[in-house]
Amino acid sequence: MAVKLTSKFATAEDTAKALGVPKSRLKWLVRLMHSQTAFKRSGGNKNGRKNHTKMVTSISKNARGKTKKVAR
Amino acid sequence: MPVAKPRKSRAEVFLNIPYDKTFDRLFVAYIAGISALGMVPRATLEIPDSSRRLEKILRLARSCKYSVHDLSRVQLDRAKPRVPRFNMPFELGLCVADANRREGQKQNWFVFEAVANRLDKSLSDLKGTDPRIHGVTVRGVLSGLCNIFRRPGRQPTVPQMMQIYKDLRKKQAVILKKAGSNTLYTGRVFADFCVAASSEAERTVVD
Repeated sequence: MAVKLTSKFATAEDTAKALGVPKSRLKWLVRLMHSQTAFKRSGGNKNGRKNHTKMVTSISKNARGKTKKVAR
Repeated sequence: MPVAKPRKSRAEVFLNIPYDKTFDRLFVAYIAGISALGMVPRATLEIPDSSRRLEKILRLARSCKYSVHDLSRVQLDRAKPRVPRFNMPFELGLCVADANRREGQKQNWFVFEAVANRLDKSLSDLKGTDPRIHGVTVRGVLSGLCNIFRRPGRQPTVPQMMQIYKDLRKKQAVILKKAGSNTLYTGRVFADFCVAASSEAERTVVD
C-alpha cells in the first residue's frame, strides 16, 4: 500500500523549527552541506605538466597552489 | 472578501528504531529517506530522560502523521544481562492502538524487518501486515520508503536518496565533533542530521 503525500515539502527551516534547532546552527548546517561544491572546485592535480615542463607544487605554507618550474 | 487558502502542514514521521552502534548506517538511511520525501523525522531521542517519559513518547507519536517501525533487532543484547529490546514492539503497539482509536483513519504505521517471514514468528499478532524487508542494507531501507510514500511532482528516486545518505555520512564526523558526541543517538545529533538532510533534499530533489 502506498501513501500519497499531499503535505508541503519540508525545507531545512521547517525541520529546524520542528526540532527546535536554533537559527545559527541551521545556517551552519546548511553551509556545511553546501561546502561540498567548494571542495570540488579546489580539487584537481596540482602536480600536472604545463608547457611540457614538470611543475612542482611548493610545499611552503603560503604557496597556495603556486608552482615552480623544475629543470629536467 | 478573499478567502485564505488552508496551509498544508509538513508531515512528520515518528521513527521507531533501535539505538545501537551496529544500526548507524540504517539510522542515517532512514533520516535521508524521510527527508528526501519532504517529511520531518521525529524520534524519542528528542525526549530527555524523565519520570514522565512514556507520556511524552505517546504525545510525540500522536503528533506525527505517520510512523515507521523497524523490528529487525530481535537478537539478544551482547552486554549482560542478555535481553532482547522490547522498546520497538512496545512503541509499535502504542501507535497501532492509537491509530485504531481514530475512526476513519487510513493506515499510518509501517513496519520494516531485515528477514522475510521472521515477523510472523516474532510478532504473530501482526499477521496480515506486510513488513518491508530491508535486508540490513541502506538501499533496502531507501527503496522501502520509496515504495510506501509517493509524492506526486517531487518523488525522489533511490539514487537521489542514496546521494543524500552519502553526503550525510561524509559530514558525520564534523557534526559529531561539533556536538561533542561520539554517538549518533543523542537529541542534538539527531536534530542536526535531520536539518542537514532536509537542506540536501531541497537541492537534490527538484520538481
